[in-house]
This record gives sequence, structure tokens and C-alpha cells, in this order.
Amino acid sequence: MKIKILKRRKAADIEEMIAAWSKQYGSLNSLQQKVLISKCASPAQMNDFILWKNLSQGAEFQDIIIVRDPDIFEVLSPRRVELLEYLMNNDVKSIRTLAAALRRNYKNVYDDLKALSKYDLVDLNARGRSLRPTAAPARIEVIFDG
Amino acid sequence: MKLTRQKTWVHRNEMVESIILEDGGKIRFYSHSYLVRNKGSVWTPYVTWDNWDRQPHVDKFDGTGVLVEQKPCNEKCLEEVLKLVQIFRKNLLTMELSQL
Repeated sequence: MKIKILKRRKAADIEEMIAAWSKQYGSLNSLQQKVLISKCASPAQMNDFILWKNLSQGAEFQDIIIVRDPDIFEVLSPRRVELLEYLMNNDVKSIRTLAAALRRNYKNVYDDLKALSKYDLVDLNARGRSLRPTAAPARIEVIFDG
Repeated sequence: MKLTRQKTWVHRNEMVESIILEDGGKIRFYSHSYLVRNKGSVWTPYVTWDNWDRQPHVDKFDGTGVLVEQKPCNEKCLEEVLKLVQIFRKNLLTMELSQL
């Protein structure tokens, strides 16, 4: 059994990723130098370099999450699946507005979002003093492959 | 060019993160890293298979993220890596690199 999650990546998301790398590393050239010097000592830097270089050249991008860990079913309770479906279909400004829309307690919604974010199912982005929840996946598939 | 990033969760705090760059159906670059999430919620690399500089090799880390060993190996596809990771998991750190 595995769960396959296709992540939604809009042009704006890719611009945000590039801006984050720019802030972290300065420029693509400086990151390339770091990777050349470290000789694979940091897989994260190597991956960031490949992603940054090819995304800025317009490469087609697929972002996939596969979960083979059966513990995911502890995370995907009916309430959390309902929450995830709501986020996949609606733009939400904050956790408070999400809790109000679902007529649920703020803290329970917050805890559910934290649990879902552990498997990258939701993104929690800081907007001012609040966190804006968005559904990371565009599609979730459950596959029984023997 | 087609770029694929795939995170495969093998356990609650263990995953394989892959980056695959394809050009016309041919794989130009691959990197498959077995990562473990520690108590501080930081993902630490344990073993990485990649073909950086067109040289397929395997890198072993010390469990805190410091590279300790590097050896050339045959090209590895994601399925082969997942098979190894699912069998050996954290024991990969104690294995001979030539076996990987």
C-alpha cells in the first residue's frame, strides 16, 4: 500500500522557491561554488542547486510525495481529511477563518494542521502575525500494489 | 527538461528524497538521499546515491550530517534505493559502502 500525493506548484510557488534560495545562498553562482567545493558533503545544497538552475531555465516540474508508512492512517482521520478537502477547494486567510468556516475549535484545527504538515500535506506560511494554511497536494491517490 | 522531486516516506521520521532531471527520456542527473528526522525536527542525511559530475557514487554520513565516506558505484534507480532503505533503514550507517 502506498499513498501518492501530487503537489500543486503554480508559477508563483516556483518564484517563491527561487526567492527563498536567493535569500539563503545569495546567487546561483555562489551556491554552485559551495557545491563544487564541498563535493557532495551537503545533499540539500546539491539538490537546491539542481532545482534552482533548472527551474530558472523553465524546466517542467513535478513534485510528488509517496507515503509507504502505514502510520499515515493515524494522521488521516475523517476530520483531517475533511479539513484537507476544504483547503484543497478554498483559499483561506488564516487558521481562525478556517476554524470558523468548519465550525470547529481553533486549537483542534491548529493541532490537525500541525499533524498534517508533518507529512507535508499542508503548508503553513507566516502572513504577518498569523499562519496561512494551504493544502499542499493537488491530488491524493491511495495505491494498493501488493 | 523534466525535473521531478519525490519524497518517499518509509517511516514516520525517515524518508528518501529524490531529484531526477530528465532530458528527452534520458536521466541527466539523479540524487537519492535517505534522510532521518531527529528530535529537533531537522532532516539529517544518512546515505546519498547520486551522479554529480556524471560520476555515480554513494556517500555515507555519520548520523549527524557529516560526510565520512564516498565510493563510486553503479547507477542506482529510485526503486533499488527504496528497496535497500526499506530493508536496512538506519543500519545502512553500519554497512560497507561497497555493499551499497
